[in-house]
Amino acid sequence: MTALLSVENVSKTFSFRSGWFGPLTTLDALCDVTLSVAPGETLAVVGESGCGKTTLGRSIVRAQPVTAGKVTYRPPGHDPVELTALDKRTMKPWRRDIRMIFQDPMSSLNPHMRVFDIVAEPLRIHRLAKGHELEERVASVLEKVGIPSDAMGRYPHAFSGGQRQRIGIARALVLDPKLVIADEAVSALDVSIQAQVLNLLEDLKDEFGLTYIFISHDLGVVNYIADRVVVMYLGHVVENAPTEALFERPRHPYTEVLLEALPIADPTRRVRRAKTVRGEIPYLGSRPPGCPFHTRCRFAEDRCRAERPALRKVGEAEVACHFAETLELKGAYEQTPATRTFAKA
Amino acid sequence: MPQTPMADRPLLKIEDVEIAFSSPDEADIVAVRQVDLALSPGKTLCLVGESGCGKSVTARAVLHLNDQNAVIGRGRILFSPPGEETVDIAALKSDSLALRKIRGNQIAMIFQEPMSSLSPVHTVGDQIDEMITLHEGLKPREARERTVSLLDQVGVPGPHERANSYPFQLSGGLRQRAMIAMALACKPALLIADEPTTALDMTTQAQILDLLKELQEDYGMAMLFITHDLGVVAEIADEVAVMYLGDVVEQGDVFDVFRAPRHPYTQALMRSIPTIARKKERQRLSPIKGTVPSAKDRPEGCSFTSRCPYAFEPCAGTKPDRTPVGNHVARCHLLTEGARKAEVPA
Amino acid sequence: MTAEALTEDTAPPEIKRSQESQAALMWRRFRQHRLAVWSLWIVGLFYFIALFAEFLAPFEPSAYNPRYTYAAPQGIHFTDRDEEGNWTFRPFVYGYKSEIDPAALRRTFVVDRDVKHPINFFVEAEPYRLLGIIPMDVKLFGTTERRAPLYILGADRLGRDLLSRLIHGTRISLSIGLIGVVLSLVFGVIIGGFSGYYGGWFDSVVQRVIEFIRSLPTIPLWLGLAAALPRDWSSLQTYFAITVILSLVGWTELARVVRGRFLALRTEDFVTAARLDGASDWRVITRHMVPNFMSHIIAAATLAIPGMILAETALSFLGLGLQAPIVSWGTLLQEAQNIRTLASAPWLLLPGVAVVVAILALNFLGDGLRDAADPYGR
Repeated sequence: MTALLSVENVSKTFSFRSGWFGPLTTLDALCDVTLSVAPGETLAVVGESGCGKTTLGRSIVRAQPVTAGKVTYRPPGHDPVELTALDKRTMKPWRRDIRMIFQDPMSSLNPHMRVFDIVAEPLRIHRLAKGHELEERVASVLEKVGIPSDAMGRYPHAFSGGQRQRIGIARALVLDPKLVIADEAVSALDVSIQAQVLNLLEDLKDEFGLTYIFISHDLGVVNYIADRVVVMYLGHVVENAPTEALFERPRHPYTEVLLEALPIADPTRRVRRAKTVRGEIPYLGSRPPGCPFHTRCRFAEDRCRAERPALRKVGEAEVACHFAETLELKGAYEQTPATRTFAKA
Repeated sequence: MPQTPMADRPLLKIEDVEIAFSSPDEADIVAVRQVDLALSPGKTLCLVGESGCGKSVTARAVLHLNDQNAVIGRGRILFSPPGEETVDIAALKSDSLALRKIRGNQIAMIFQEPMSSLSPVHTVGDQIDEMITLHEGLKPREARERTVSLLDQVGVPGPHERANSYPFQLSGGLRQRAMIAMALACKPALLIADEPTTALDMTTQAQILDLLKELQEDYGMAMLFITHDLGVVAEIADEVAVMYLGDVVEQGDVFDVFRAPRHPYTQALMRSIPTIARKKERQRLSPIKGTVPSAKDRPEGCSFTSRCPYAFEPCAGTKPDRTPVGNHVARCHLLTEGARKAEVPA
Repeated sequence: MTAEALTEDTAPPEIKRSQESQAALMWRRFRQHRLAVWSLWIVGLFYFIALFAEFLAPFEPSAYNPRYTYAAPQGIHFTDRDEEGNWTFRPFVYGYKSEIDPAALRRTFVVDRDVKHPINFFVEAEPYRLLGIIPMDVKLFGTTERRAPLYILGADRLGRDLLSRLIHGTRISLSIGLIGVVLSLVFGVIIGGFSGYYGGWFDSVVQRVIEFIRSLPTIPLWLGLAAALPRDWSSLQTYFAITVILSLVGWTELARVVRGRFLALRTEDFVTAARLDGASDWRVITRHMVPNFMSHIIAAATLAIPGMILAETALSFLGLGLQAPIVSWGTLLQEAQNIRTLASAPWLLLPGVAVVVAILALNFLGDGLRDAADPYGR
């Protein structure tokens, strides 16, 4: 199956001067990132702060230009489009297909617009509907995300965080997109609301035939929603594997570290960590040579410090580690808790 | 820790506390309606709940750190440091000598964002030095020695050099470690930790949780740990208290509560978190319906009534009693129904 | 399809509030600020006076009467007792009689309780044009007897009515503040807007220019510029020239505010969302950014008016701003420059009171607006 969207060797460098005559500082937010997402798939991108997952999302939707590499979109029944080669005008039609959901439900809705206008805005910009038809389309998409259509006249401040996130989702879906990029879409929400929104995203995916790129730092959520997971560290893809394979047997030491750091809501699985987690994420500007993870890796050898490992196929996964074939790393499924069923109180 | 004859009495006992926020134009908002908690020396009690449940307000009340307009309307906060008289903190004035003696000396607190509680214009070392000299009257040189050893103990690499750093020169994880070092400076009997790992990356969070557990063993201090993350609770708690809209709905031994939660809210909360399970064992999440109402719309009875799938006739009007279930307690009418019917004639 | 479709937030009393726009929310927050609401009334009253100056003032500002130089304030009396001892409502003022102070050999006026001049409303007057446009021949109040003195707040050295001059001065002083701020706003919004939205080298250059202008000491700068104005300019030309001079410095502050808001809004998710919708720059700015900082701009502009008024007053007081035939609070205060005049005619300081009240009211109003505009303030 051909990919719906592929990202090939994309790099993004931010450069800025401190002051007028200060030295030019550069930050490599993305280094040679390659990945692709198949139609109907949910691809999760995980990592900690500074790993480049947000920059990646913003590069795909062309919120900012990339420094190198290309992003190719293959719309069904249409020739492939190289998004990175488009300008503002030629990009506009593809913005209908590729949409984004933001993290912060408070700042992603214009406080001066009514919910109706917020959701209708994309339709108006693309001149897809007006008058009665516009109203119907907005009402129907709002209803699908669980916002009653009689609330259309309200302003965002009248809604709770979860409801605002639903409105944000409605705005993304009103153009009938093919690909939705959700950047930490549930991270700012309380647990119970987060579950509502996750279920909603799953339902909408089936109904609209969507493909998701789900950017998150929460491995629990990722395990629940994703078909495949890309792990990023300091702007590099370090592992790319089907969800179950990754959680069953991680191939990259950093993936293992992430899985081990995940607090599991079950006190019986409480174990003293083997202290695999060492040190802190280095500052992006002072990226070490060689493997980006070698400063914190318990398996690091001289080769890791000198030579940057390329992403290569190991089993079901693609891994960027010199020793991926030989390492026996610990997964997260070992003592899977029984699914939660409680007696009625 | 010296064993006193009174070692089995709780270190901190919060009895029937209500905290209201007054505002000039509107009616008072009762942020915390009824909280009963007990924390034994050397143990960890986790206060868990979603935003607005009053967990932070409760914890801050212990040190009178809430805003001026927050009033402890009712109840007692009894603090019994080892070998000393019990003090009712709720009755103390927030600028009284007695409270100042407790603050930072016997009870220390760490916060979600260390930047807000560290002074940006003093080095980390100076700030810890000051704590030590203030409370223990050591000479500057001795104080600095203590500071360096503390920083070393909380896992700050190169403690000598780091003591001379300003907070902004440290990463989030190191700042939190420095904050913890400062809290430990006077060997508190109780450490209050208000979402100390929420702003941190996952791997850093794991490190800080490990560190806190280690330090707790070394210092024998009790911890009141506030979090919204059930994963963190399972990781660190001895006891857990689940809060919802100003009420403690369920509390007790962490293993017991996680194994057999009896309050519908606790159950629902646990069903809302995705489990780490293989696809075939995965279940669709069953979220709680609706959203948390605001404190002024809280029903007279059980605060969870509006979202509870089992709500029945007494829930909205009558507050459920604390009912022992297994090794813990919960407040739910479903648990007391039989008893209640026998007692109340009407 | 959403099993958990929301049933929340349907409480009826909440609905009205939830339908409120940001402007309505702002208004509600503003109204809680008592001092600001009072100030709004006071500022409104001042601008009302400024607008209808010709109608409200009993005399032309330049109408002089050498018979009544430095006449003391008469005060106004509302009730009178007729011969039978009954109280009647009838506003009137007492007349004057002149006395020679034997020690100082100076003529002073004292209020003569034997002569009463009744005050009538909507009296006929010399024809004039309201705002220079609408022809009228009625004034709000005055005496029916043509030659009767009416100096409620006293007279100056040429026997001109201080009240009338104060009312006309209000128009000039307040309008300079307003027009100056509008000019500053135009410069500020355009330059600050470009600077903030596009950033880059243009932003850097603009910021340095602003820093340079703000580092200049304002009073000498104004003095220099005002002194450079040709002496033969008409009073209207001088008036506009002074306004432009004041806004030359004033725009920098507003440009900073606008730039700051642009920078902050540019990174807001809803602005990014609009750009990802494919919206044009124009649409992003007009629909998504401008409505979100309008309130801040209004507040900042309100807070800038007092500075303008004070600057004009200071310049005119020093004799470098507006010149004699134009009446402003500054030129009025110029009359009160020497101690001797002050000792014998302290009422000439009244324009100073007007300045203080207006400045305070505008500042409180601006504070109230600023607090109301900031949703995170409280």
